[in-house]
Amino acid sequence: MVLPAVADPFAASPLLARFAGMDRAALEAHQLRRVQSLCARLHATSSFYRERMEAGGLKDGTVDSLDRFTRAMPTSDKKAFLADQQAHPPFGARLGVDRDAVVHISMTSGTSGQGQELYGRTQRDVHMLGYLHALPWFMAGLRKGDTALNCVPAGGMTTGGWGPGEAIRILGATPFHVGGNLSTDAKIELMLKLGTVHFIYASTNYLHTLTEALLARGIVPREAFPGMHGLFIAAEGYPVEWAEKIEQHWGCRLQEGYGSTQLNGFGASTAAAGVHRDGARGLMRLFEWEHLIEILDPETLAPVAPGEVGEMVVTNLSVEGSPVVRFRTGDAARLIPWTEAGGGAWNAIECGTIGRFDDMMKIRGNNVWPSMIDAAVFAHGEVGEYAGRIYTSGDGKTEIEVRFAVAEHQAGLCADDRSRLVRSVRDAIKQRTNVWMDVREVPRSEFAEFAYKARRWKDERQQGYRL
Amino acid sequence: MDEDALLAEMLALAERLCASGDALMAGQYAHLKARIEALIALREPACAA
Repeated sequence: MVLPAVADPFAASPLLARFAGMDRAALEAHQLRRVQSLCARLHATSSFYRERMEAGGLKDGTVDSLDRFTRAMPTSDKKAFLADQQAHPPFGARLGVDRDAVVHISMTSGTSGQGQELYGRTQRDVHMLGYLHALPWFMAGLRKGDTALNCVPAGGMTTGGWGPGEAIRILGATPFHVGGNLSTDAKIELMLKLGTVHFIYASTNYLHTLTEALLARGIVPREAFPGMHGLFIAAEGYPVEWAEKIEQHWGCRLQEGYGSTQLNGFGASTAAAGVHRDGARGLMRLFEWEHLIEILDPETLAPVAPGEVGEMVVTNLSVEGSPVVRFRTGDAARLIPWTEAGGGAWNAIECGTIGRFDDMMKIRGNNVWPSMIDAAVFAHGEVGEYAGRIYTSGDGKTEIEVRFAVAEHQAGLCADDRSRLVRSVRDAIKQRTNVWMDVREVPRSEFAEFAYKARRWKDERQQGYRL
Repeated sequence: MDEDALLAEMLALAERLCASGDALMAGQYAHLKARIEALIALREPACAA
C-alpha cells in the first residue's frame, strides 16, 4: 500500500513557490552573491578564513565565480576547527562576528572521539536555526494549530536540541518536547491523553522503537492517532521495506531530512514526496538557496558523477556566527543532480542511505557501512533491534558477530520461525555486504533503548592484537 | 529618540505583515508581532508613571 503524497507543499506559500520556481542559473547567481558577501566579510573579520583565502589565491576575499571559489578555496575539517579553537579559545578565529554578538552556542556531539566543535551563533542565526528546521516540516505538512511531538532531546548545547523548539514555535504549532525526558511508556500515555497528534519528529531509530512499543501494547497507530499527517525522521539509514511498513502502521507519509550543526539546521528534505517511490528510495532535495553543498570524492576532492556516493562539503549562505566554508562533513551521500531529480532546479541526495565515511569498516577486504547492515537486518519486520561487534579471534582471524532481538509485538514466533529468521538475516547481510557474519538471536532485554542516534557497532579488533 | 513611538510604528507594520496569506511566513510574522507587543508591554509601567 502506497499512501498518497501530501498536498502540494508549495501551494500555501507563495514565497516557497518562488524558491521552487527558480531556474538553475538564477539559483547559482544567488549562491554566488551570497558566497561573495560571505568571503568579503570573513576576509575582514576572520584570520582563519583570511589565511585560507589568500593561500588559495582569492586575494582580498574576492570571488568572481562559483567555479573559481570551489577550485581555489581550501576545504576545512573538524581537525582544523579543533586546532583553531585550541589556538583561539573558545570559538576560534573562524567566529567571524564580534564576541559579544554571540547569544547561542551549538556544539557537536563528540561521538567521533576527536573533540567537540563549538559554534557561536548570533540573534539572527537563532531565528535561522528555527527557520531551517521549520522549512522542511512546513513542506511536510506541519501547520499552525497542529500538535507536534518532538522526540529528539531538547535544549542543551546541540543544534538539534534548540532548532525544533524554535521551528514549531515560529510555525505556530503546539510542541510537546518529549525527547530525553519521558520514557517510551510515558510518551505513549501522553499521546493517548492528547488523543490528537498531527506530527512526530524523531530519529529513525526512535520512530522504530516508538512504533514497536505501540504495537506491542496492541495499539495500531493509524487507529489511535487518525489525525497524524506527518512523520519526519533524520539521522540514520533504513531499508525501504521498513519505511513502507512504518507508513502502513501510521497511515501517513514518512518524510526525511538531512541536517547538521554545520548547516545550522536542515539542508535537505523530501518536502512532501515521501522517502520512497515505486519501491525505490526517494530523494531529499537540497535547500541550495541557503547552503552551497558539494558532493566530492573524498580522495581526490573532485565532484562525483551522478549516482555516485561522495562526501558532502558545505558552505553556509546565511549564517553569521561561526560559518562553515567548504567544510568536509564526513557525511556520505549519493548525488542525484537536479536534471535527473524529476523537476525543479535543486540537486538531490538519496533517502535512507546517508552514512559516515569515518564509520566505514574495512572487513575482510570489503568496505562495509553500518547503514548497509541496518538495511539488511531491518528489512525483516520481525526484528526489533540489533547490535554488531567486530573482533579478533584467538587465532587472529577477524570475526563479526550480529546479535538481534525479535520485536516485542512478534514475541509469539515459534522456534522454527526464529531459526528461519536467523538464516534469512544472515543471507541478507551477505547479499548487501559480501561478508558472512555470525548471526544469532538474543532476548530483547539485552538492548538498552536508544533515545536519539543509535550506535550499534563496536570495532574491537585492536583489542585482540595482544602479545 | 521616542522608543515608545518607534515600537508603536513597528507594531503597526508587523500587524500589516500578519495579514500575509503566506503560510510559511505567517507564524514568523506572528512571532515578530508578539515580540514587539512584549517590548511595549514591559515598558508600559514606566509610560504610565
